[in-house]
Amino acid sequence: MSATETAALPLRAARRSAVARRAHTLMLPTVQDDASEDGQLICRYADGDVAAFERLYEKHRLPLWRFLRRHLREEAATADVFQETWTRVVANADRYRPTAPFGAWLYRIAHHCCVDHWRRSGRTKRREVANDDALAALPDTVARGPAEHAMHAQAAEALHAAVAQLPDEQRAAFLMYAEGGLSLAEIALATDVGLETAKSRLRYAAAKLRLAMTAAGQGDGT
Amino acid sequence: MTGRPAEDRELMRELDALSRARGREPGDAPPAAVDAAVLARARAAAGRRRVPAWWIPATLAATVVIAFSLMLRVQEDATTVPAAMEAAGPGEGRAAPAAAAAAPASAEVAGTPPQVAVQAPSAAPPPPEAASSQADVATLRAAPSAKTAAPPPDPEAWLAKIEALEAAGRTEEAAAERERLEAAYPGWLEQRARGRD
Repeated sequence: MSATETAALPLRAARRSAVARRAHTLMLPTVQDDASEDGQLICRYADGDVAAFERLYEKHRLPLWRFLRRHLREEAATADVFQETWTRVVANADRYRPTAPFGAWLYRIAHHCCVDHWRRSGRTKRREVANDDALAALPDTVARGPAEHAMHAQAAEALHAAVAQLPDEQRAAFLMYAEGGLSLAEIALATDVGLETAKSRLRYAAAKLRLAMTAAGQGDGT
Repeated sequence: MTGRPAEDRELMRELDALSRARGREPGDAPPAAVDAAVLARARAAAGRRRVPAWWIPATLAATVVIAFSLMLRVQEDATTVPAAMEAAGPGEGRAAPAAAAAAPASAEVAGTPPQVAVQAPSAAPPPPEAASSQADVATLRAAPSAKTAAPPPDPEAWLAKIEALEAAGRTEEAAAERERLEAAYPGWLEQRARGRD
C-alpha cells in the first residue's frame, strides 16, 4: 500500500465512524462485536486488502451457499446467484457503510439476486397469504418436540420439503435465520421490511414447519 | 423484540429447534471452481482499486497546467522571434519591430487573443492612458529583444550608405545616419579619419 493510500485510510475511517454515530443516533442497528469485525474486513477490502476479503468469504461462504440452495432449490441457479452475490459485494465494497451489519447487507444483496434470477427465469412468485385464522388453527406446540423428530431422517426430510413449500418471503426469512444466523432486526433490514413484518413471517414459517413435523411424526407411526 | 420479549424468546427457541432438526446434507458447500472464480474476481477488483481516487483528477490538472504553460511559451516565442529578425535589419527598421512587438504584448495585457489585437489599433485606437501603458509594455518587451537580437550593422557598410546618401544630395538623412553611427560606434569615425591621415 502506498504512502498516499495509507494517508487516506484515517479519513475513510473517520467518515465511517461518523456514519456509525449518526446511525446510532437514529436508533438503527450498528456494527457490533462479530459483525463489527465483518464491517472492518469489508472496509479493509475496499482499501485494497485482499486478505480481508478472503477471511470474510471463508466466514460467510457456507451459510450463504446453504441459504441460496434451500431458497432457490436449483443447483445451477445456486452457483450462478452465489457468484452474482459476491460479484456485487466486490463491486460495491467501497459503498458499504456501517449503518447495517455486514450480514444484513450481504443477505440483502443475495435476496435481490434471487428476485432478479426468478424474474429472468419467468418464475411466478409464491406469495404469502396472511391468514391469522389459519395460524391460530395450527397446534401451539410440537406434539413431541422438533428435537425428537430430528432423530429421524424422515422427519428431517419432511422438514426440508416443508421449507421448500413455504412462500418466498417466509422461506427467505426462515433461511436467513436458520442458515445465515441473522437476527430479527437483520432479517428485517435484509428483506426491506419492518421488524414486525419480519417477525410475523418467521412466526408463520415456524407454525407451518411445526405442522409438517407433526404430520411427518404421525405418518411415521412414531 | 422489545414489545413482547417472552413471545419472541419462544419464537426464537422454536426456530432454533427447527433449524437443528433440519440437519446438514453432505457436500453442502460451494464447488471449488465457484470459490476460485469468486476469489479471482475479488483479487482483480482489488488490483484496480489500488489506484487512489485522487489520481485521475490530479493527472488531468497536471496535464492542463503543462499544456497552458507550453502554450504561453510558444506564444512568447512567436512574438520575440519576428521582433529580433526585424530589428536585425537597417536603421529605420528598428521602430517597426518594436511596434510589431507592441501589438501582441498589449493583447496579452488586455487578455485578448493576439490576432485580434494586431488589427485593433487601425479600427479603434485605444484611449491615451491605455496607449501609454501599452507603449511602456511594448518598450519593456522590445528593449531586451533589440539588445540581444539586433547588433548594429557593420560601420564600414553603414558609412558607405551614408556617403551614398550624401552623394545623392540627401544631406539631412546622411547627417542623421552619421549621428546614429557615432552613437553606435563612439570615436570610430574620428579614429578612421586619423588612420587615413
